[in-house]
Amino acid sequence: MGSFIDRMKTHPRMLRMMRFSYRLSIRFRNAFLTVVYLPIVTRKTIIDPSAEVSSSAVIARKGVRIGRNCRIMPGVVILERAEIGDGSSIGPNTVVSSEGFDCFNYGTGVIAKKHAGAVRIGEGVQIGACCCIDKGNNRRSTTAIGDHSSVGDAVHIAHNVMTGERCTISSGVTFAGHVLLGDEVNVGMNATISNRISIAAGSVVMRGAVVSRNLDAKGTVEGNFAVDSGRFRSFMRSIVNGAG
Amino acid sequence: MRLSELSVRKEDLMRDREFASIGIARESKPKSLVAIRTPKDLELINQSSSVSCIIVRKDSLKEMPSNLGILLSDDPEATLFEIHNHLASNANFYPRGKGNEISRSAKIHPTAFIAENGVRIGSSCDIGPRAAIMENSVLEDNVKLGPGTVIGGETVRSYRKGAQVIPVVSTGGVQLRKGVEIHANCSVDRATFGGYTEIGEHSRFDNMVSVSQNSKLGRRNLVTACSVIGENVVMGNDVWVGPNATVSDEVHIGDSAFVTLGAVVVEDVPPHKKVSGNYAIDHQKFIEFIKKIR
Repeated sequence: MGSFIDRMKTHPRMLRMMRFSYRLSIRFRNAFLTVVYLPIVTRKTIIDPSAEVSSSAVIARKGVRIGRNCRIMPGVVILERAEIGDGSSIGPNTVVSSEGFDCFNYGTGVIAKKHAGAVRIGEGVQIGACCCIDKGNNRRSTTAIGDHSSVGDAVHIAHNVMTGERCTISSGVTFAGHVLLGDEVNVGMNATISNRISIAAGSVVMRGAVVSRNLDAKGTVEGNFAVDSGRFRSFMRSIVNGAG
Repeated sequence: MRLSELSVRKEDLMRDREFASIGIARESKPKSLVAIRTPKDLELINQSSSVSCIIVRKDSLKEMPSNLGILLSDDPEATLFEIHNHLASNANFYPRGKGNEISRSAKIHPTAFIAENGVRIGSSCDIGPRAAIMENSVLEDNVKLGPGTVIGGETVRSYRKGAQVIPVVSTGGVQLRKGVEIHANCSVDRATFGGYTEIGEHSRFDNMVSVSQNSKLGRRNLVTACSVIGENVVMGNDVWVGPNATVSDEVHIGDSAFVTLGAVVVEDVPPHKKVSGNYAIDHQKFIEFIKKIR
């Protein structure tokens, strides 16, 4: 039952090895990161005087930079290692630079990787209410939102997601980790994009789509799992009309 | 509590029996009062030994088991809610927590909100900025809550009485076991009919996960971003729930099951199974189907 690799994965000795190596790597990496990242993190937060920051927003004391003419609405939480470009606005109750989700279940417990990256929000970005933007998962990686993009409400942007310029991301969209969007990509409402997916510039992801494959050329995808929009529609038409 | 102690019409009360809790057919609460909504509920009640009273429509009465207390109603669920709302203020039926117990070693952000009654926070807990912990929430040791997370919010349910829409009062709580870690903007609702919504040891939730009332999650479950878990869900251990997945009400998910991204689970998932799609089916079958239309 199952492939060779699957069987190996469940072998107790293999499990022990995996657990050990994972722990070791995390421990070393974290020790290393604290040494390397310390000078940057300990830098004081800089908020430009022209920025409009609500009194109920919570902003970390270290490692945040907020540019000119930014608007930070009530209830926003901005944690360490975040940079917000000039003229951006962040909607109520949005959380920026929170810890990402990188967990490993070793059978008797779960270890999470401590995130050491940053968030960079470009210039003129509009972010809606109740979004979450995670920080990059290691010190060289950032979660970046390109200039002049707009992000709707309740959007989840996971670690290491990079979006191009002038992207439109509607409400309820979920990005899993390491997604790359080209410029001017349009993502519809409540779409889901799987991890390590890259989407070509100018593409359209329709509402409710679940993208599980790369989009190498400009196109439109739709459905769960997402397929080319034209094909999806003809398939749906065949159901409705009862053909086949 | 007996059915006859409630203010119900005498002609509706077919058989009087005692009950100690309010629940659903698929749950084994001792001596529970249950509303019969569908024929499936009837089957479940015939198998269950914990149900003691039922509320049922008159036309489905023919096949009733003999030993249960029976109350007739045109809308069983609404009647159940009405009885529950009536009993919600009864401290003997739904015992209430007294005061808070907050460990000194817990790290609580000054902007976090903590209710004044029935909250227990264990040692080395970490409560993030703007998190809210409502009444009857129990956080065991080493629980971490991210920014903006709400523990013990109410699941919105309501029933109609004439033209009025009346909300259902929540009386239960939330239990987060040792080492649970919940990230930003999540919400775990408190149980409506007493008892607890439970999240097992070392479970981790990503951002914006929502768990509805009275769900029981096992240990080491990893639930990723924007997933929604419905009411009365029972989940085993080591389950993975992918981004933006939906788990429907009263579904049971087995150990080590894998719900892929965007799946909508409406049926029980056996252990070690991978499901995907809307509605979710076996992953391999689903992929073959997608290949056909791709």
